[in-house]
Amino acid sequence: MYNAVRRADEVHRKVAVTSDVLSSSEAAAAAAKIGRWIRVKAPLRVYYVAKAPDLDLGGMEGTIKQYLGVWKGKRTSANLPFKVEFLIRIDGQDSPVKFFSHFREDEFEYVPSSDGPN
Amino acid sequence: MSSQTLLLGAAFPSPALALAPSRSRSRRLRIRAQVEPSDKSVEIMRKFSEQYARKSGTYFCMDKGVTAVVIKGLAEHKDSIGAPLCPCRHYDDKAAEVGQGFWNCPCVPMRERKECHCMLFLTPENDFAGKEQAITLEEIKEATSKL
Repeated sequence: MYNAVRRADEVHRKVAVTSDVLSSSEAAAAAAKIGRWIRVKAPLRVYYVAKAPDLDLGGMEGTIKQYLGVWKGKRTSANLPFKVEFLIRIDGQDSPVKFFSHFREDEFEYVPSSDGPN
Repeated sequence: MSSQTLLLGAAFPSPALALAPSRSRSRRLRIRAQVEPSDKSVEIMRKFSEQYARKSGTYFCMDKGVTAVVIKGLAEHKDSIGAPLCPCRHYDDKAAEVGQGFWNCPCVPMRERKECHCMLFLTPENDFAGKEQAITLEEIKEATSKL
């Protein structure tokens, strides 16, 4: 029984080593997306933006600020790994309101850089 | 805590103890996979759940057993890895997940989209949403003692 427990530990440790650490090409691919300009494809209502309590993100454009599938070289299980920054103008606010939202890759499309911000 | 030290003691049986009774005793101890969360952590996560349900305008499941199990799972994670990671998910590297915080309750999908797949926080439109935003410690203990 003691040997079985030990063997299970070793197997678990071996699995952890191979899946945790990202290959350098994966990490590079993720890093290359940061800064890209994107547009949200489908309607998505959010309620957490302080100055805009009921907001539809569908069709809005923003920049990818962070990729959360990696943390210090380790793979994480975040299912909305793309953190996108939005800047919106709201009536009654002097400066644009900035907020972040997280998305899956299939929820947005890349916008050619020639379009630029509206 | 004491059950944790018992488990550790059982993993390294002294070579002098070759008697069958002590070996069967250590075998029984090793079967326990999870340690019970402390009452303090359960109370903290219970209060947090009530507060966050009120703040987010969400409700507990009509079956409070579901709510109880999730709260207990959050408390277990808080005790074992230091942060209440979502108990309904599997993690390859818990330390990395804690450091990053995506799944730290309230997780990002809940904070942004009010999507809680544990069914702890349910929007009023959800078929399984009850009418309550409160749960007592007794309800939690009763629901989870049957497991």
